[in-house]
Amino acid sequence: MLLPVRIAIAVGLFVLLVLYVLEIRVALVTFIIFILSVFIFSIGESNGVMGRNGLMSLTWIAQSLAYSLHTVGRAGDLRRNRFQFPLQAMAAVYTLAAISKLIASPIHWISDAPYLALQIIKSFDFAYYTTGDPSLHTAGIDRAYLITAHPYLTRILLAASFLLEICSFVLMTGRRPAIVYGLLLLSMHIGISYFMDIFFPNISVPMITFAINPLYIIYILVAALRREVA
Amino acid sequence: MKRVLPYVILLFALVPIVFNQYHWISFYFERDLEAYRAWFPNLYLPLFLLIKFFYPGILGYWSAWLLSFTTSKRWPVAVIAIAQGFLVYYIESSQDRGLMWVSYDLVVLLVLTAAIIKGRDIYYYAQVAWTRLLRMAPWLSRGYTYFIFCSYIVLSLLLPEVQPFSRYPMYSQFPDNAETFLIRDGHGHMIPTHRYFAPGAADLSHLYYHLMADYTRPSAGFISQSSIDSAVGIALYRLLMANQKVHPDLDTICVNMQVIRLSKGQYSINETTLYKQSVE
Repeated sequence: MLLPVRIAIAVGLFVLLVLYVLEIRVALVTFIIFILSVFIFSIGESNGVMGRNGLMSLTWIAQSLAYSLHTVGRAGDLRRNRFQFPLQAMAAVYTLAAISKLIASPIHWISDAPYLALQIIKSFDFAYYTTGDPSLHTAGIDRAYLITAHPYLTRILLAASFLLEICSFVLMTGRRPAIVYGLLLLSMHIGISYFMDIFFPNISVPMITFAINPLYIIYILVAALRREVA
Repeated sequence: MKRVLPYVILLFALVPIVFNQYHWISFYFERDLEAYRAWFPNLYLPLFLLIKFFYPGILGYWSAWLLSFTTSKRWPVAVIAIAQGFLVYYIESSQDRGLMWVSYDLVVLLVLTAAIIKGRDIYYYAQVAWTRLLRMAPWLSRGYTYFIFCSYIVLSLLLPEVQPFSRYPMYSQFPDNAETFLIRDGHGHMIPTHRYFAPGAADLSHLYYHLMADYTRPSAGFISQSSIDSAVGIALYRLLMANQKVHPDLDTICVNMQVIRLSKGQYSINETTLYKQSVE
């Protein structure tokens, strides 16, 4: 795209985000950001490079819906819904991942655990062939060896991650279950990152923001400390 | 009757336009890859639909529909919208485009002018329409609704992989082989992609699987494996060359694919060259 168009989109998005933070016409602002995000991600994906950015767009439309319902006097507490609606989207994403596994390879996804070693080698070799750092190739071989040397432990970990995904509706059931379940999902992402050198920021970052909500946890801890000191 | 009339206008007048535009929607889903890219290079369905949304005939149509909220004389507006719909249909299916195009443009200009004059009211009435739509949805009236969760899952399972819908099939199965992609120069040395190009090996892999899905569609017909490999290799090479960071100071670029297999605890690697090109 032409540089002026890029600059115009960046400036427009900045203005929209400022309006979002100041809570000015949030229903309309978040809807516009959703539309822009869908088209921007589509441009990137139209070259065949799938970024799995759907959740980033869904977060905005979910908040737009929460604010829109609030303006018509529906759907109760806005403060709750602007968190809970995006959490529904995240739960749907993880559930879809689990459904994809059930469709593509039902029980074999766990029984084929040794072949996970190939995916590990592939992931690290992607990084090696991209950057030229031979330590990445070696790291992939080492981690693949861990998988093939401990097939039963691998199957248990894969089964656990599948259960985490299929039961992700827990994210929608309340603030505290969302924090606990979010920490479990985060541990799953950390494990994937360590073994496969893969991190999905477009899924993990919204999940951390809305499910775990670290700023809220810090706020709670600081408030508790202040009460203790006082 | 007055309250539902705008919706009736919407449905009735949309019929000829949708009927006419349907073949474009079908074309997208049944496209031949090269023909699709010749028509709409680097566009995906949302952008495709955006273009159709702002297609002059449809833009005039939407203006007429919104105008129907702003005036009590709704029947003239309804007639204009319906006539425009049929006009668009006739023009697009007709070989004679002389006088018809002029009259079509006049209709669009009149309607768009009125829409601009009534712009503020149109925005207000669009808000009214959206509010009415929300209030018509009783399942959204509860606090902890699961509407988004259920609808997104259902839509993602029904629709193809277009933004923002996806089934997130990453690593949903573990086959007994894996493909990696790399670049070599004319002497067989591995060249890190990021030395010259923005895409990485993972990006090449994504494009490879995307293209393979297109070429192996049943509607694509029989295509020999060598033709597929050649076409895919060319596409990967073009992706790299279209996203250069610096001009590669190489004599030759070979886009290679490695297939790693695991059988009876033993790994084997088979490397083939998908495409080879001298660098100018």
